[in-house]
Amino acid sequence: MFGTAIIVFREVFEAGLAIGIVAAALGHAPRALRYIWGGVFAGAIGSLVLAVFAGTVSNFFGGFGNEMLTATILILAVMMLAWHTLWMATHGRQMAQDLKSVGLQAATGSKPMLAVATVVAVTVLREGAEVVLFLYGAAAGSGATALQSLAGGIIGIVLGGMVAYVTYKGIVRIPMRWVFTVTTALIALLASGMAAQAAHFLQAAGAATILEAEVWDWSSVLPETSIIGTFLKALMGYSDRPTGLMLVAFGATLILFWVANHMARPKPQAKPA
Amino acid sequence: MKIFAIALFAVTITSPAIADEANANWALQGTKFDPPVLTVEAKSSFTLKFINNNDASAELECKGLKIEKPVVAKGTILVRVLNPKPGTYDCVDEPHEDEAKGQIVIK
Repeated sequence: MFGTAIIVFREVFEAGLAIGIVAAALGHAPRALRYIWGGVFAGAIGSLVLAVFAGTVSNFFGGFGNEMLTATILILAVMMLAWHTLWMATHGRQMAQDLKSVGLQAATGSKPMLAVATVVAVTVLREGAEVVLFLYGAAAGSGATALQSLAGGIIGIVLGGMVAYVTYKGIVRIPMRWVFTVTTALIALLASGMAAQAAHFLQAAGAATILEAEVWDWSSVLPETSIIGTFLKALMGYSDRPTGLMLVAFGATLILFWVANHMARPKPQAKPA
Repeated sequence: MKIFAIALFAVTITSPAIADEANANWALQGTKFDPPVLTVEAKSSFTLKFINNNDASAELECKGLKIEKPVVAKGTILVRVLNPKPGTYDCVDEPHEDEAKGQIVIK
């Protein structure tokens, strides 16, 4: 049971951390939580549907359908985060003038919120389908084992959900004048990590065959299956044995987010409280 | 949605070119891997075809090789492993990891 709980927790943790960051960054906007929960719900339904069609999906793209779907989902999430960041950066200037910096996020419109809901939905979808298939596989055993596996799965989901909540609560406790900077940096890291993982999945599918060589091997120093490694993987796509393309994707996305923020972001006007 | 079309296009133009490259075959029957120890030649990459002969979904996991992929009941998956290093790697069917164990040896 505990084995199942740990495995499911690991999947839910990855999604939960990302959702916690996104919710903390945008949760102050009116209707934001509705969009975020809507995204979670849509992702959960999508996971069930995807699990039902898992066999069909995996046969796409010459047998690499899963990898290609995951890469598409990740690229879509990066694009949504980039679009949302740009929208906030360009519209933030006038909002800051109208509403002072504290009210910056309160005026976020519904279009960027749809982007946020999409990011949440695809994040849940990405990990969720695997959890559904895993639990289905585990539950196919004998009666008592199956029940234990399902109980473990539920414990894993609840614990993963708690990570999202703790992350959210932790970030929203940061003083208001730092929140924008912190969440902008976290979202840039999150997006860069997603881009690196998208590169990994494209390479795992044989769709991208450049820069495949391993750049370093930290698997004995900081394995990605360790607690810190898992956290860094969820936060910024950490890999203990990254390929060149993964590092390029990470660096390029980080630079893009940094440039986008610095080109259009309003000058900080916060006064000490 | 425009942005989804762009994402899909970006992935589609890079559709897998080496899907037929499978150079190792492995199967799961009950809790037994066939063969129990799979030997693969060390190259910059290899592609593994894994067949799940069971009536329940499975998940092939070989931690040292970064393999972690679900496979539906009676399904087949392909796994491409990059930069494998010579050695012996433990693998399991994750939902039944206490019983279903196999090994991949990279030579």
